[in-house]
Amino acid sequence: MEHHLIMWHWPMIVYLFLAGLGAGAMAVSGIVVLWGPTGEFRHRAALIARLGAFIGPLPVIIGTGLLIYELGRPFRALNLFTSNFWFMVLNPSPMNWGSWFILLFCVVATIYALTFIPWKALLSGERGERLEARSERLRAPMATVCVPLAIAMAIYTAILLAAVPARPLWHTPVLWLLFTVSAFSTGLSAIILVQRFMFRKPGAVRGAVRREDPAFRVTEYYLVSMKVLLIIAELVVIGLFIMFAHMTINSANFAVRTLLPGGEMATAFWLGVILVGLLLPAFIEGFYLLRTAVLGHEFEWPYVINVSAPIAILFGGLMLRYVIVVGGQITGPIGI
Amino acid sequence: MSDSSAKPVSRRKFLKGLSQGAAAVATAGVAGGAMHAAATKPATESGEKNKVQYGMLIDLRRCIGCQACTVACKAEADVPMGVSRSWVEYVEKGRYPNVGRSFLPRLCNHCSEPHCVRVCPTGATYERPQDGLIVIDQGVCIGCLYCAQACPYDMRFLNPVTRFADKCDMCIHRVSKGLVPSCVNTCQGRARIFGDVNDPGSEIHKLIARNPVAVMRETYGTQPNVYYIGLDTTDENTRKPGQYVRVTTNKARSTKRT
Amino acid sequence: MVDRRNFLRIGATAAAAAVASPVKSALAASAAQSKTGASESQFFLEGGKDYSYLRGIEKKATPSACWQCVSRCPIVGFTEDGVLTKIEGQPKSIRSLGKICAKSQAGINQVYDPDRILYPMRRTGERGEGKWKRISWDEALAELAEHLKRLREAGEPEKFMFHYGRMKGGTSKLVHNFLNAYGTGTIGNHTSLCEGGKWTAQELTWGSHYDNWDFDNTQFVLNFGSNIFETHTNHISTAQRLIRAMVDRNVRLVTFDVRLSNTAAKSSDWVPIRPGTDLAVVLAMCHVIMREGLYEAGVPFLEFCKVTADYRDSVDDKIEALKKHVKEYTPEWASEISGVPSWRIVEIAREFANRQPACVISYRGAVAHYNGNETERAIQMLAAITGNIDNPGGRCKAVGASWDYPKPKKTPKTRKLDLMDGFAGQVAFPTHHVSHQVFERIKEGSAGRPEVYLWYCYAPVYANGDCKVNEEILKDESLLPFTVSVNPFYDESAALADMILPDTTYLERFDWEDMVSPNQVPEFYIRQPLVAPLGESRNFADVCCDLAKRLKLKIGAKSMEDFVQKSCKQTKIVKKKARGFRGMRKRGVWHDKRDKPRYFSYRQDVKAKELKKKTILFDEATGVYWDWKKAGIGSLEVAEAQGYTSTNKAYRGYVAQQFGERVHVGFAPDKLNKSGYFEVYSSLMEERGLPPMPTYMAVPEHADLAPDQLVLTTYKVNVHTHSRTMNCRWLAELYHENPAWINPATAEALAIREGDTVKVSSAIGEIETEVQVTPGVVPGVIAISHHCGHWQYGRFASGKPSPQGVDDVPDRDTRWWNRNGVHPNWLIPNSPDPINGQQRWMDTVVRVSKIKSA
Ligand SMILES: Nc1nc2c(c(=O)[nH]1)N[C@H]1C(S)=C(S)[C@@H](COP(=O)(O)OP(=O)(O)OC[C@H]3O[C@@H](n4cnc5c(=O)[nH]c(N)nc54)[C@H](O)[C@@H]3O)O[C@H]1N2
Ligand SMILES: Nc1nc2c(c(=O)[nH]1)N[C@H]1C(S)=C(S)[C@@H](COP(=O)(O)OP(=O)(O)OC[C@H]3O[C@@H](n4cnc5c(=O)[nH]c(N)nc54)[C@H](O)[C@@H]3O)O[C@H]1N2
Ligand code: SF4
Ligand code: SF4
Ligand code: SF4
Ligand code: SF4
Ligand code: SF4
Ligand SMILES: [Mo]
Repeated sequence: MEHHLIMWHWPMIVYLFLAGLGAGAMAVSGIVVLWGPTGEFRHRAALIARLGAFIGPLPVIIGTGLLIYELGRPFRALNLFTSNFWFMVLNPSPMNWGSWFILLFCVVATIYALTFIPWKALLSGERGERLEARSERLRAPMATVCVPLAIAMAIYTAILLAAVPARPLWHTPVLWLLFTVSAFSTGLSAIILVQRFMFRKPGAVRGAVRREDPAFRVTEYYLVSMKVLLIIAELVVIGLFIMFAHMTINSANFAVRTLLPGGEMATAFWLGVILVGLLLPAFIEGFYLLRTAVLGHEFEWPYVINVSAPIAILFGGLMLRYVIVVGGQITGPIGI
Repeated sequence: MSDSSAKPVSRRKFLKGLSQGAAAVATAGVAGGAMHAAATKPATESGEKNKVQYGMLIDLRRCIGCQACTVACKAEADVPMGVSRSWVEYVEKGRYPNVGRSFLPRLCNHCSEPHCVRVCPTGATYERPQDGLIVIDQGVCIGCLYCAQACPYDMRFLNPVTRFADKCDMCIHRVSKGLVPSCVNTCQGRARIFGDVNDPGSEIHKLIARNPVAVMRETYGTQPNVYYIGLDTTDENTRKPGQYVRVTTNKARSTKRT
Repeated sequence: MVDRRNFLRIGATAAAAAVASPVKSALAASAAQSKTGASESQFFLEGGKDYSYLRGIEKKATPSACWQCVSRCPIVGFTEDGVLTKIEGQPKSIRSLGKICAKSQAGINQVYDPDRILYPMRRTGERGEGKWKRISWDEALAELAEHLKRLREAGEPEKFMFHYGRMKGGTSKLVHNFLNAYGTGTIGNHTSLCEGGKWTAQELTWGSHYDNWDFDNTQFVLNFGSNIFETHTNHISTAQRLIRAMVDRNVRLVTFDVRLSNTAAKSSDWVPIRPGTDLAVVLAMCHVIMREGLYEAGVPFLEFCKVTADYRDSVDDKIEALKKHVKEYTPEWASEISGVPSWRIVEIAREFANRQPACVISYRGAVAHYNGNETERAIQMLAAITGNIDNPGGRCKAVGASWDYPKPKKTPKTRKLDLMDGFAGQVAFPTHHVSHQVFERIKEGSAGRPEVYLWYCYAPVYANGDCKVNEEILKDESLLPFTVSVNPFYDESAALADMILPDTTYLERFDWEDMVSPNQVPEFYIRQPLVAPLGESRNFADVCCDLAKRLKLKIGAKSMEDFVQKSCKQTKIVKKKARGFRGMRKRGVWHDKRDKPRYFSYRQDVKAKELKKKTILFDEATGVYWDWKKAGIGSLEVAEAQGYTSTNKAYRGYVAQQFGERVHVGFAPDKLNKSGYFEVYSSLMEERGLPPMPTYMAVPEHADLAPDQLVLTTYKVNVHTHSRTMNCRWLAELYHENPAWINPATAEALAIREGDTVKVSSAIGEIETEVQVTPGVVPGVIAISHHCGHWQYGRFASGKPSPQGVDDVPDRDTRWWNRNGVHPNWLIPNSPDPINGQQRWMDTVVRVSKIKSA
């Protein structure tokens, strides 16, 4: 086949991954704030919401920074914002809208994150109290804005790719779903990973949560279950993704062959995305989950696995972006 | 930065873009023979008589695959090594002794519905109202290469020297002074004809009107302004099992053999 | 270091400019210029002007001539601030019609080649060790002149051997002036590597050499082994006319080739043929034409042909003789040999004979074989019996500009070493020498050895067969004590020299040119510098003038510019009508508008009065009128006694030929004492015990090949010229690897797959190469182009910068590939066609075996 130049490399891949991750983390945080448990799991929920909120903007800012850095002329990037409004409306480039959107996301996510800062602990006196109170009041309304924003952000990372018919692997109606599910699972994994580092040793205390608390175990159990469910969802979506492409005639069909056995991206896809990123964590975590669910064992697992499963998921998420971004570029329209 | 803010709005073809969409529907082509899909012919009859639309007709019967155009193009704008604005693909197919090789010169199609313009986030890529050519304002471009992803013809690349998007600009520095593009100038077969496709008096218009012409990848809806006579639509990727087809793109850096 | 290569900095500035001031200006400028309405058709100028891409300003145009290949098409060079940035075809040329090819477009790369040799160099280490020091021109020429003076004073000027490759036009004349004045006749060329065999075969039939194919007027083209759409010695001028004839007038082109060249691909029909068997097919076509009586159109021409031993025989006798001669060459017989189905031979023969006029063309694919001489003679016969000789639309005698030029007044009688014509008895008619045997002759030593060996525009190591032996001999100081390479580039041969004199590239020098016109109207044109010579490079012709001064020789000009200027003055028509040198410098090309295409030149009458001259003699045996005095004979008696044919170089005195009752200029001989007839029957061949009529002979090595034995064919591609364009980055970028082509059937038999690495070995060497399995090649053949596999020549060609290569250039790291391909000449022995000495490039038998899977 015609060998196309790869024009979007690692910075774009990492950017898409990080943006998804940030969006996922923020979405999880917002969801927990809005619909999270109260009562005995209150503190755990608060911690997860906080971590999600803190993680949210960071990867997006880093990813965007990376892209701008890669462009080589940081100030040139401002051109993204200098075109006039009518141009934007009449020539709706996903990237143009996207840049405004990312800007909005970063601002909102940062404000949202600020609402989680323990002002009282940081600032003594009345100011701390006032800020804390105001933050708490703001948190839920902010979360209502943040959840759709974050989901939109996750979708945007896919739209950016899916908008171009010239890249048949991207130009599919399933990509947004795939990237959104992946955003959630990587976001959640990032949260879990961070808190695993926080609770490395038994007895570690973070706020009101202790590792020995039964509540801790139970939330862990739910979190991991959620993650496994997301993995299963992702597997289904990937199945759909391949099926859609495969059932399409010509270009998309041809493009998806790059992922199928024998294709150029097959190794990265089957090993990196499917095996390491999805099946492995699903099996390991599933094993411990089932032990608890079926045999009634206490939910407990070795720390190594405890940490490596989310890492594997994060790796899988990165590989997914890699496979899609590169695979989409090396395949193209067929027919003269 | 200052140049981008000084950019006149009129240069961006946003209003024209709307009216063109309608024209496109009105002139959509009919299906052709096995050899070539009938291309959408220029929009002369569709009330756009006055619109100048520069384009090119490549008469593949006259093309001997000599690559003079490829190198002329390199030289004209000193296009850096490793990237190409124009190239000539070789398509070899058949079974001994009935084997053929056809030649397919490639350049930017200066599409009337250019995907590259649609995705460009800055307006750096735009259609020139005066002649319909799709060009890149390097004072505005940020080098994001979204346009390169969007072009169904793989015409765009990152210029490794300027670090901006680059592609065939139909040699505007020549054609605006009344000279044919460099690749046309050198073509010994006179396979490449340049001109205003909407001008009924032009050679290119007449040739398009008189010959069965085709454009590349018409289904993408880009409405190319580069027309071909005798386009062989064989593509390596669509070959049947056991059929020998070898496409050598002769594009810099991607001269991969299969 | 900076002043060393200030030209290279231009590249960097241009790049910087591109960043700083983008196309903006051009955009703005053009926006202002663009027309408003489309009511009036806009006409675009095809050429002759160019504008700066970055700055929009008009570039300076200078007419000149290309030299990227032997075609030497007229060009226009465009400069910006003294930097050459673009080359186009010369729109005023009646030959090239303003077109150039890919190689010519990349001519800029030659000038600004980062590996150019810009200063004279003297070897410091062992020969070939690669250690050099820069010396001054004065040092260099003093040393060379010293050697030359010594030899001349010792009465041995012949021990100075000059060996050239692509030397043409005025340069050839001025350099020969120098060599003549100096007194050496030990002058080698490269013609037997090239197409010398074709030329000799033509000299045996129609006297002089070079055929022009009149595509503008033809109705059918039959091609044996010419890759005209990619190569040809008059490429741009002819290829465009052929494709035009095909598309505009539906002229069919039928190509016989062992592989699917682009020409074969573009032909109406590609007829695959086994290597070295074209002769059988051509003879069989003659058979069909004679058998079926399709020679009617040829009958009038037969009057001018010699087909039997006696030139006085009637046309009917000739027809009978022809019929008899080709009787046994049946299509079935030819089919067996060539693999071409007999019905095809019959059909094509009929088509060729029935379409009038038709043109049969041939090149190295047909002639670079053991039987090449006979193939070309048979092709001449095929053209003759159908009346397609020197007629509109047929195979014409070439027409080129005839320049007058300064010659030294008195020159000594030259002496020469007998190195140029192969070993005794090896070649019957080495009219263009046997240059690929020169090194072997030197090694063997019986004809003496040169003490100074200087070569020019020639790559002895790379371009000849058997690279290994070439290298060994050129390296051996006991065989060649002092060697000088005149070269702008550090090629494989220059690397073995004692001294390198940096020549200018063709874009930095003066010359006049006289290449053949495709439309039979001569065109005068000149070459002039587009930029001043870079570094200290000097045109070799100027160096000859300098050497002449040092040796106190008169060679007719002070410099090449002076020579061209004088030639413009001396050539009356150029002086009068083209305004001489100044006019030529301005226009570049000139032709006489009143000139009519020249056909049927042989039919020109010779007035009886002219034949009355005292020194002119009628030769009864041949029917030739000849001037014995011009032939160098002292007296009438001796001339009468010796006769025309047996007088050494009698052809020089040829005046006219008796054809029945009339006397015409006929087909005047050039290098052989043939008659003025178109000699299908060659008495000269007969005298040598060779078949007088074109007769079948097989390539001996091709009999009984084992299954793993293939015939190696080498070929040229459209974007390269021999070895010398591989450092042109724009061309190397397009083509830098040459996988060996083999047919799927052959590949299957040898268990080889696409991309595998194979060992290809011949009697003299072996190479390893990748394989491309393609149906575009005849089974049993392995085809490898001869442009790749450099081990010197610069970074783009070989990955190795030259000793004077610069690193502070913008294109330093732009070579994005890392394989150089292979050079087939390590496998091909130097071996001549026994009749004319042509190197047999396409005959080598090789064994192919897989060594690595893809
Ligand atoms: N691009 C380019 N053009 C050039 C040159 C160059 O190097 N590059 N060099 C110039 C020079 S100096 C010359 S002499 C000419 C040479 O011009 P050509 O003679 O036309 O070129 P070649 O490639 O040497 O050989 C022509 C063809 O012969 C085929 N062939 C090999 N064996 C046989 C055979 O047995 N029968 C038949 N029918 N065909 C056979 C080869 O496949 C090849 O396609 O080109 C000139 N023009
Ligand atoms: N296997 C195989 N070998 C072939 C052929 C083939 O078909 N197959 N073809 C043969 C043919 S047709 C020919 S004509 C010969 C050609 O053989 P050559 O004439 O020897 O080869 P070129 O590559 O044309 O140029 C030779 C050298 O000239 C030098 N040169 C280039 N430009 C200049 C200049 O401006 N001035 C000076 N002084 N030197 C310069 C370069 O260093 C180059 O190495 O090769 C023959 N070799
Ligand atoms: S220059 Fe003309 S003939 Fe040559 S490859 Fe280009 S389009 Fe074809
Ligand atoms: S060919 Fe590609 S780059 Fe050119 S106008 Fe069309 S979409 Fe744009
Ligand atoms: S690279 Fe430049 S021209 Fe292309 S989309 Fe980005 S800003 Fe527009
Ligand atoms: S029009 Fe100009 S830029 Fe475009 S392919 Fe031709 S030479 Fe290159
Ligand atoms: S055919 Fe030869 S001389 Fe003519 S333009 Fe091409 S390289 Fe130059
Ligand atoms: Mo040659």
